[in-house]
Amino acid sequence: MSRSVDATCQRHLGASCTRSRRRALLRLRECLLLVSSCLQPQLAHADRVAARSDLGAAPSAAATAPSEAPEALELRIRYRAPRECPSSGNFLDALQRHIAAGGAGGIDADVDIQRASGTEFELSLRLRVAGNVSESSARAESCLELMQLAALNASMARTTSPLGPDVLAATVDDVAASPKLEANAPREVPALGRDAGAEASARESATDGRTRAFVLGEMRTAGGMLPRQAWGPGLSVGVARDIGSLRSSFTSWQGQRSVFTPDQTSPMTLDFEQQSLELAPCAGFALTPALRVDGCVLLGAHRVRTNAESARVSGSIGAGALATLSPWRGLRVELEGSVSAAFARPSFAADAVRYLYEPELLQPGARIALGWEFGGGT
Amino acid sequence: MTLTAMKRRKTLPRWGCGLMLVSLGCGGEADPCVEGEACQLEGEVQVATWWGTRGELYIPFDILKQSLRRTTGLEATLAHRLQTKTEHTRWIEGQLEQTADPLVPLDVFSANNGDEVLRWTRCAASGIPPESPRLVGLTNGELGVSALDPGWIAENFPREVMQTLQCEGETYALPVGIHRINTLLYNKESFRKAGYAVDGAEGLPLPGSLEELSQAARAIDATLPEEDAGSDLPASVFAVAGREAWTLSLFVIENLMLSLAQDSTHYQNYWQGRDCDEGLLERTLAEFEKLRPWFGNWELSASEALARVTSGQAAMMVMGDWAAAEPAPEDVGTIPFPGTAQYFVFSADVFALPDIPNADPLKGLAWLRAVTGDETQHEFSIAKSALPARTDLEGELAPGGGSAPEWVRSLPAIFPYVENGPFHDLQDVLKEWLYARKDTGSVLEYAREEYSKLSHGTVSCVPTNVDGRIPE
Repeated sequence: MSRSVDATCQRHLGASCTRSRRRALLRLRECLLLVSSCLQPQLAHADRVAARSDLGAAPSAAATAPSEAPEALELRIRYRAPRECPSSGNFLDALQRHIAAGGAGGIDADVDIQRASGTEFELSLRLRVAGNVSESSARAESCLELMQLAALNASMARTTSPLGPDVLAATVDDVAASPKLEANAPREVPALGRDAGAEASARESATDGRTRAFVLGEMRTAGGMLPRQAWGPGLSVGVARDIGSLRSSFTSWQGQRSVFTPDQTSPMTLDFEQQSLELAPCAGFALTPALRVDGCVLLGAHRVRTNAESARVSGSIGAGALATLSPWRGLRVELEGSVSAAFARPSFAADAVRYLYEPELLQPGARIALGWEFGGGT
Repeated sequence: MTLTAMKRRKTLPRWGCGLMLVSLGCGGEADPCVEGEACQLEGEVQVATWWGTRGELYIPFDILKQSLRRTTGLEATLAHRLQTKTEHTRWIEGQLEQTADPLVPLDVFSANNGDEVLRWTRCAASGIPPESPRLVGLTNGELGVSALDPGWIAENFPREVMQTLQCEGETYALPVGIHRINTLLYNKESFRKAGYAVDGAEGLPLPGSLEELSQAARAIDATLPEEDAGSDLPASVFAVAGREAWTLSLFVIENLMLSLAQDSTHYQNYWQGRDCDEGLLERTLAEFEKLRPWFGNWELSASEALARVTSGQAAMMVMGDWAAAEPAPEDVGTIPFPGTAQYFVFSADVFALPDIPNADPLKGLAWLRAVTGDETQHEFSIAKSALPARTDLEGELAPGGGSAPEWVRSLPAIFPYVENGPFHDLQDVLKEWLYARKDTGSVLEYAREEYSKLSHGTVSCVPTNVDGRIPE
């Protein structure tokens, strides 16, 4: 983040700012002060505009609230954030302080802060300036910082800047590194400079905080369940929200034929057919925007029949480790390893007179799934 | 084919079923079997045999019962309490022909190989075969997974035995043990005293021919002990169980006649009606006559004869090898009957499944599997002094091996099994001859008449071709 700030400083202020790249956080404040010095005339103008505006009449609600006063600053702001984040009123207060520093034109912004994981929040900021739309996002552990960043960037959108409105943006590091952000320190922070691909990826990872549904085709394998290693295709559907997810899977195992010769007597051939249902509540966290790990509880139910006996139903309970990859848009790849303990294990016999086979108590398994995730609202 | 499963093992809560398995359904039955334990079944296998009621056969039968219990949890119950094979066979006839009163549950019954089994199939040796087999075909696919595999049968049981249990490609019984009936049981101490090499000791070799048998009889006769104080019978070289006529037939036909024949084919051709060598039968009677002076009393039962050999009051007897199961091996030994060491005259104990309404073929198959398991076969063969029915356990006696004897069918496996079939009263005729109520000519005349009844006969045994002379 500091790299972007530093690059902007270099472009506008010359070599005096390039040193801040190596000491970004510590030098950020100094750099920002330089920026404000460069833009002093405009800042003064902004002050006058701010003096005409009546921010006290600005909407206090989070909903879209255009200003009605013809003389007042035109605001169109949509602010959404989790409960634990600062309120919309806090945001407007912060915005007011920045606007008071100067600038021209209205503000049209969508501020969307969501929980990205157990430890992080993510800001999605959408600004419309002079008919142009710019989007940016950032993550931080502090929701307050993101709110302040949003206020800063929104205020900068109305500030007349040679950079143009489509490239403006401060970063969360800017906010965090500046102990005086609460003050009305005037500043101009250029755009993040992210490429489009990285930004899209970040948007994908930001969906963790929403309720999403997913559908996956899968292939499973399990040991100790049938006479030989079992393989079977299946289908999973599930939902995920915040740190948790819940998936339900159906697996139709490939049939097996096994020959038994107890006591070296005449061989008996059993054909096994099995279907399984699994319910798996999971909880975990994102290691990166594209990789998430979960621990799951696996509740399984199995229906097995042979050519010698009617269908049997049994159950299993186990634990699994799940890794979820989100390499592109809604594409979702799941890899899972598990161990289940079978209960109510069925025993299989020939015509109910001769024991032939019983599944193992512990059944290791693995699963790979591929599918699509569909986003949802908060 | 109804089986009732008993849930002896406590059924675990099926709460998982209701958890999320609506789509799967919960129609499964409780587990009937547990690894390492018997299957949890309620039921009994109704077995018809005379073994379980006879003291000397109780232990072998109990081994089979325990095997059934161990492998399936089923209990074997005797379907009748008859103590002789004749009564048992008649009882089986009534159940299979559905003429008995009452008709009782019957899942499996014992028999000997040959027409005793095949008479209930389209391969009956004589008479009118049943329109459909009265026995369950053991490899019938309708039996499901329990059906026996033809390849397994061919691989694990002697072909010579199975040929006497199969009809039109189907198997109708499985052997559980195979007896050698060309066996001479001898008292070891009696032979030692006569100078014979017993159990590796120095001395004369045990008799290997009819001539050596006569020499041994003379030698032993000179060393016989005094009369037992508890018996009114004098000691004798041979113990002859003439009270039970079938033992006479066994002695004369399957031992003496086979020993005198040029080879087994010569012997079998006579009894299969392909070559009426009446001279062979006549020489056999003559040889038997030569041995008669050493018989002592011949009105013994089989048990009494064995007891006399065991006690040393008699030096030897001719009987199937099953007789060796009772006496201690230190007292009584066995050798092939002299002159027949190259033959294994077999009689197999088999079990068949009746195809009647009161039978459960699956239980019958469970019994067959239990009694033919390798471990059970090993235990049973020791207890009953029989050769295991499975070739992989038969060792050097298994047919086909380099030093293996030639397997020869016993008479019951050759003759049709009908009430008035050919030679059906041969043993009685021999008994009459032994008791001097018939002379040799009468026996030969009887044989000629019976010979014409043999369905496979191609040559009539008439006076014009006696002694192998083919009529012009």
